[in-house]
Amino acid sequence: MSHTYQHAALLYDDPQDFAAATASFVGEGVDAGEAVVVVTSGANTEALRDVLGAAGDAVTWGAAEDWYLRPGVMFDRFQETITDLARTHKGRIRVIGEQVHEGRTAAEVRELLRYDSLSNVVFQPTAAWVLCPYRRATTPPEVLTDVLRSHPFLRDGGEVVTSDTFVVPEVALAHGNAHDDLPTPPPYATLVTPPMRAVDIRRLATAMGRGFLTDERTQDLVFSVNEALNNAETHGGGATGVTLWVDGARLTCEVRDAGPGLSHPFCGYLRPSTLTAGGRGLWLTRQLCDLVEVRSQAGRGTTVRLHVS
Amino acid sequence: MESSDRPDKVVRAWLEVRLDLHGVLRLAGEADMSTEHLVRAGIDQLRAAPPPHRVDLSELSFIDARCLGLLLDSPEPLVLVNPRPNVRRVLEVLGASSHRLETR
Repeated sequence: MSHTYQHAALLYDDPQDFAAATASFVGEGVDAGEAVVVVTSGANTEALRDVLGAAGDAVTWGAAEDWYLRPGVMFDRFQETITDLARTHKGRIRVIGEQVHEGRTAAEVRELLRYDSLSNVVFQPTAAWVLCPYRRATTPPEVLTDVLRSHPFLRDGGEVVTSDTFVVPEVALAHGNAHDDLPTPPPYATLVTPPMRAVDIRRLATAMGRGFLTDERTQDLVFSVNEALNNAETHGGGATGVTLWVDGARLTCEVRDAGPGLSHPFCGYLRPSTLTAGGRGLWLTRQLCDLVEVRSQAGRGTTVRLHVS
Repeated sequence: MESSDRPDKVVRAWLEVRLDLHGVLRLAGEADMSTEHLVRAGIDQLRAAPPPHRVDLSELSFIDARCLGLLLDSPEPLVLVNPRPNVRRVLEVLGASSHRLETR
């Protein structure tokens, strides 16, 4: 197992417990001259640095609130960091990446866990050891179920055990896409039905963002909704409806089509290898929006819900 | 060069594509699926002229991923001049190397 990719979840109670459970994982890596990256909360960083002492200086530290700002940006940053290290660094790479779930909506947590699932495919060739800590108090049973589905291993004390309920990423994402769990838009939402023009939807989204979103965030949503419309036009037989609404500080826009569904559950999740590659629009959308929710089933159309605040 | 009809007439955004006296391709308006063919034709015409190949984006208020692809995937690099903040932002997310961008 020493030269293969390993992706394990770790459950802990508090920062002291976190430090005790991760110190040997980090310390062994530092002692062996391996590259070690730790992205976690401030309290956990402090506790772990206390235990590590001078060895902590060899670690690349990251703040979870910076790295996990948006799911798509987070994953791209990890992907870039790990693949760069795999290219420049001879030895193994050890990564601790903690998604801090406090203050996040259930939809955001679901999306973060999709990336956890996806990482099994993306980081497989790097032979990295990735440890994902989850704080027990902010990991309710339904989230824990998804954690065990997306991590092939569970680190418990010093032991690494296999997760019996691990699901291969293709199946996990397809299953998530098929789940008809998007909340109904509020009754005051604006509904647009065909015939409609992308240029008019762009105007409408711009008008709705004005006054409470910054120009930059409004433009991010306008770009994204246009990409969703392009995809519906190109792959889904045209959009059958667009719904836009404001909820607090957030502008949400949903584009639906009745086409054949996504060609692959990973559509738009991975940085396109060339600029012309398909899926670039949806990938860009995931970089620009706070959250992108896609629901799609073979023969039953695709729904893309975009959130910007 | 060609420009699309005003949007009140047809299902199209408005885009003007023009090769100016200095051999700079100027895009004004919105580059989306409905005007993509104009961008493509403009780039073909620009490439037929001797280098350097520059595209002025200062009057371009919107561009989608496909039209961005036309600007970025061309066999020899085009210099993109004065993109507006929203266009620059998407270029940066795509990792379009900064030496392709020119601000004057």
